Amino acid sequence: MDKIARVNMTERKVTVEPLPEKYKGKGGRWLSSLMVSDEVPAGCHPLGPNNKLVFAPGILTGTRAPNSGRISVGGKSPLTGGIKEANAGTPFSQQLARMGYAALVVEGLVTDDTRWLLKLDINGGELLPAEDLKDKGAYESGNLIWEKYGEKTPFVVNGPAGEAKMAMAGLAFNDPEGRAARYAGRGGLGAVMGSKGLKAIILDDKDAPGVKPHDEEMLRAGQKKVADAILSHDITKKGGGLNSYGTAVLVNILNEAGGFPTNNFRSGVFEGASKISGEALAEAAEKRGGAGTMGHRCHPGCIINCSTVYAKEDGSEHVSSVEYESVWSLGANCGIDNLDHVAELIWLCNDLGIDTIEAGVMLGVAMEAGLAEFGDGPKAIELLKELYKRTPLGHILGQGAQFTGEAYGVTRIPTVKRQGMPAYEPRAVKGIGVTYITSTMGADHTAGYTIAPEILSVGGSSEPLSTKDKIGLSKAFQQTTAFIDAAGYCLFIAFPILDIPSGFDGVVETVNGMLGTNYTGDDVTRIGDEILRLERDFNIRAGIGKEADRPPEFMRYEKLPPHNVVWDISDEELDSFWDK
Amino acid sequence: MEVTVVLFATLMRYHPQGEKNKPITMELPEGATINDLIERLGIGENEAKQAFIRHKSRPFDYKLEEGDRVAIFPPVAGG
Repeated sequence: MDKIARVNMTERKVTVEPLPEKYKGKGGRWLSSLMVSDEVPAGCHPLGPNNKLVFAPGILTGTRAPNSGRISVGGKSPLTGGIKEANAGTPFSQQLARMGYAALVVEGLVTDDTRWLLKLDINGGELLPAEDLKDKGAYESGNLIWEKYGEKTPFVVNGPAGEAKMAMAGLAFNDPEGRAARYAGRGGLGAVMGSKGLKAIILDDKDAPGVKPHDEEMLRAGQKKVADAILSHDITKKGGGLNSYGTAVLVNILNEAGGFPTNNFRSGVFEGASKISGEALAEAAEKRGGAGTMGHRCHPGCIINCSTVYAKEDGSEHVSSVEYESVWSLGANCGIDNLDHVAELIWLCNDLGIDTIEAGVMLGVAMEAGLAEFGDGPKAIELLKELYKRTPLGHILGQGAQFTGEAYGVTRIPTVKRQGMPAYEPRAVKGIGVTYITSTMGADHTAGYTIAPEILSVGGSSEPLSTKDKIGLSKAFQQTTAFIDAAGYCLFIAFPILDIPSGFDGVVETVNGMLGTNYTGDDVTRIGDEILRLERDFNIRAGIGKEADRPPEFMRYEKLPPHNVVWDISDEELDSFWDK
Repeated sequence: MEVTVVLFATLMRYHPQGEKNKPITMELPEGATINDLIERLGIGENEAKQAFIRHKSRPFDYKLEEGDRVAIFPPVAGG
């Protein structure tokens, strides 16, 4: 991975350049955030000519290190106005790495209403007209790409919401079977790609040189340690919770803990939780048969296999994947306990090309505004379809929860930095609240998943309702996460490596084996902190400083049942997050 | 005393009537703990990771009270 591809949409030109010294040894979120920070003016309009999209495989992506097929996509977010990196697990990332690219940068924009497809090869490639894909759903676009360019062609596509520059649009990468369903979903990067006139990117890996580690033996030793940890830990092993029930295995435990946001964050308990849980998904897969699958994988080399395929009553495929975040946002958060309705909502999100979390938080706010009753699945489906039609209502909803709430005068808007909160109630689980509030990304659970010790008793144990030491807890998680994101590992390796020290050693060893570095455990924290601070610096330059590190006001005065608690960590404590 | 138990995920196979996540009603002696209940259900050592009563995770030596509803989980995680 020693080169960068640049596609200039203004000039419709593709060029390849050697990787500058400064960027060597970096990957994933480390590289995407660094390049955005270096090349994108912080004050630029996210949909204007000066924003860029950076695609970066992780440091280990393309190697045989388990679960290392992540791609980071960076840019200035049209949702938050700050820096954004969203990542996804997909074969696309592995191929991009094997083609020798540390990064692919999309810059400039077309000035007319045309659509383009980038066909990237090892020498650069070309921009091809893509009028045939214009305004097509992400699923259909992916199917047409495989028909035209061959099965297994790695792709990333934009859905119609991204083409319409809606701020909750994400980017859909292919899964191993060609579904446009692996999303770099958060923060509106689909709108950025839409603003540039780029509908899709495909990879032609002819004569790809592959990935060459500095020390093959060390890499292999490290990857064995990581794999052993994954396969021996109860959560990630074959037949364990994630593999058998998918990520939605979390539904019941969060609900029992009173931290499962329900009806637009009015309560921490959802009566219909069990009906949308991982257990219910597994039961449906068993009863309905056909396409229904638990233990599906998002990319080759994944040994956890937590993805799912949900089938309709007749056994035909409805949607993949049904994740915890999606059944929560489009289910509990909207009061909907019908899994078929939730599956249809997820399918619509995937086809429109929008983030399922933001979509569900937006729908919760829309219900608050009276556009539908809580629990009304068919009406929620109708509302999402407004986005296809590009009605004024569709454009309002497509801008996400904050914008929708503002348009309708709603005060209960569960966002931070204008990004919708994920599936954990910050009033009932304080550490994750600190992550939502301080993250450079806006409300984002993956940025520092303190749920592990607070709810799951993984990596130690921390009382969820207590405010004690939550700043430090979130900070440690955010730093380590940034490093995992840089390495290209799936975040779920954190569960085993938090509990099994040799697994953690293996992560460091794999990176050292790849790069020839001598990193230690301390460097994980140091590098993670460096990444967070360069993102923070971008945000400050973009006008998003500590004033934006605040919870939505209603959480300070509305008591959340069943614990009847408010947000009670002070602003001064929140500000101390960035103390060195 | 009578308590209600709900089993989740991989623990559902320990349901005495094989009804997976249907609540189980159990009669236990006064002073019984979560540990006693886990043992009574035949749940293997270290298979149960957490038990929630009234929305809080309780240690396994927690003394049960009449009418308690106990939700028992194996190790789970996601995101």
